[in-house]
Amino acid sequence: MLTSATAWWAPKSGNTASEYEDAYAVKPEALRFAVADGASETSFARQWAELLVEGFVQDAPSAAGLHDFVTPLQAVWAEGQKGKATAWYAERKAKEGAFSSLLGVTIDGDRWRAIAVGDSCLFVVRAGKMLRAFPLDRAEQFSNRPSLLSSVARSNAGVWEQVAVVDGELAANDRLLLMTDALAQWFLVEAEMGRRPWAALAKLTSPEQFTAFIDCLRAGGALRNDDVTLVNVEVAA
Amino acid sequence: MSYEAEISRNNPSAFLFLIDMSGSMTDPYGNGKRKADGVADAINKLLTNLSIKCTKSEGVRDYYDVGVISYGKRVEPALVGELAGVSLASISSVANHPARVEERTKKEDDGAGGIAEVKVKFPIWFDAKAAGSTPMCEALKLAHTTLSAWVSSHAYSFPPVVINITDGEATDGDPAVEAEALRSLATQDGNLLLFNCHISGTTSDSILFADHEEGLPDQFAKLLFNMSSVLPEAIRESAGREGFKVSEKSRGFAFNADLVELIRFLDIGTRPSNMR
Repeated sequence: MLTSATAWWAPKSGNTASEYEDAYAVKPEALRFAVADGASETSFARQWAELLVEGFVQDAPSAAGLHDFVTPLQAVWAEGQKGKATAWYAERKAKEGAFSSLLGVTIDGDRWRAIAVGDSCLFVVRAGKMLRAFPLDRAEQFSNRPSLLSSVARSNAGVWEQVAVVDGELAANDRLLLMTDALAQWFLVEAEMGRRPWAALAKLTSPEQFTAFIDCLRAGGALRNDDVTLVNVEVAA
Repeated sequence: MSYEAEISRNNPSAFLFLIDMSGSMTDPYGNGKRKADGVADAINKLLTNLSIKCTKSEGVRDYYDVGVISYGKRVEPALVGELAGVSLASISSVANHPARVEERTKKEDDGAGGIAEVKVKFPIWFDAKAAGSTPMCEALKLAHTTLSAWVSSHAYSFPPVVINITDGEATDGDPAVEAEALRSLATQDGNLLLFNCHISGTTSDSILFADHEEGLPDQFAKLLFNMSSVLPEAIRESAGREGFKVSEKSRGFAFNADLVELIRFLDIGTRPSNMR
């Protein structure tokens, strides 16, 4: 089944593009897509989020395989920090590690499957209706304290029980929307109010339109100020 | 709505610590340590944690202005080293200018079921120097002077948080009056928050975010409780999620409690639940 994918993003308002700490990777030829959200209270979070999404589209792990998937990426992350943390606070922060969510989606024949740690979300839209929301399906479930994947092994002890997986059937013209938490929370609030946020997003045809749309949501207070990422996967007819 | 301003580099918040360094602070408390030494350790730990909290890949981001005022023989800004005499400094200049950095060992979970002893750098900005009486009113007045200028230049910021740490007996009048004046300072996001930490020599159980004065061990604890701000909803919810017992009447009052706990609830963004 042929698919096309676009990825749009915007940094938190007040931050520069270089301070954006989400990450995404799309590999349409392998039918793998991922978004991740580096936690803002940790340092070198973007690098960690990028390692996770790039790793996912190379080698989509199962829930049981996630631990072995993460271990070599932690070594790469640690290698990237060497020599950078010289001040006492940078050294302490590096020891705490970086943290990130991960949402990875794979399409295999006429099925899709998804794996998630944290609060980045997948929405499956079919024939003008939301068929599935994963791993969160109510706006009230978002908190400031999600369980996330850490770049240091000792902080991941309790995470492996929090890995969520789901799969479903895929039909022609389905849309799979992957997004990081702020946009996902807006999406669920809209859906809960009986509106059709997927239709609003479907109208956007360029990154510029996406940025303008995000600015407008933020200005109206509908969207929490945070980095925003959207990966839009469309299944062919 | 109040207490909802995002803490950012454009709109930083402020922490001002008022530290009782009167003669009575040389008395021991719970664990046999002198109160003054316990407080100095806590302040250095708080400044350490705040610096680390604001550290990003490129350095320390100025999400806060921070100051320490001690009161005892004198009432004065109390940071030592390069920041001596400064009443409020940006968190990046605090992080970059400790008076000295000591090395301490601490025990840490090694992630494989064992305990490892690790060396950590322990920066020092503040030393215990306890002597004299307890001019708490004067300290609250100096806090008022320092922060009235700050609130007028930071109208859109999350309001400043003042944390007063004392063993309770003001010797220069009724601190409730000065506390009320201090709490009346405000940004557009709300009134200044005054938290009080009572360090006592008694061995009563520690209390954090008390919601009524009955059961508090003495009149000084009750006075400090009544001087403390009621916790804003966001902080109350955050504390509740962490397992603390809080109600709508909970105040920023701690009795013989871990001071470091008191400011964990002021967020600057996503904090992973598995982050230590």
